Amino acid sequence: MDKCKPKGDLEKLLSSFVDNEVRNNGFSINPENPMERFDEWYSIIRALIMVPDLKNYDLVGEFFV
Amino acid sequence: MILLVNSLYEDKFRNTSFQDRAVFLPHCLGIDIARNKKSKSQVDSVKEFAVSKGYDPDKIFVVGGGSEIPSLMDGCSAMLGLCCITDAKAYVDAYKAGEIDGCRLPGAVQMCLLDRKGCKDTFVNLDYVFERLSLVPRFVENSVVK
Repeated sequence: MDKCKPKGDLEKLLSSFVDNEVRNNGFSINPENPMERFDEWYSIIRALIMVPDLKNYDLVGEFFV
Repeated sequence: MILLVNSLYEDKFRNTSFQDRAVFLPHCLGIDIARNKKSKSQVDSVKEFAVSKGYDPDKIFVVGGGSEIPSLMDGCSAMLGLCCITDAKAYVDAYKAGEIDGCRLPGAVQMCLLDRKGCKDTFVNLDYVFERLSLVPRFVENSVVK
């Protein structure tokens, strides 16, 4: 049951990424196609999650589903 | 992956009225276990909650699989789907491509992942589903009713 429950830390990380990086730092979301840069952002977030100091296997496992 | 999609579409989903959103529920959601325990299935719980919020009952669909969705989503501005990882990946790819099976996708999507695939005895985190169903425009959420 808990497997499908989003974890607070990951939601916080994504929310922070979308708010700070996407909206405020030039990575604007194209309202006509929000998925336009999905692959790029996916890679950035994956890299953020996997940097050694932040490595958290729960987060990594959850992000990849 | 799913949380990133939900984040990217959250504003558009928030700005779509409850009546214009479609909800897609899998037939397998907690039904077998509910039958054995003679309790309400999660499908019924989600339906009841959505209707109580103002969702159109005619736009709440129980489907046998993701392939049934394209024929039903015509005219919907946004959709919320409860799905297994297989269907979720198919819809992430479809949203990247802009269409599925030649059909244009609704303008916004939110997905809630089932705990397993296999179309039997699946469960979803209802708190997360109710939170996504309840999303309203930020200015409404931030306004204080006195």
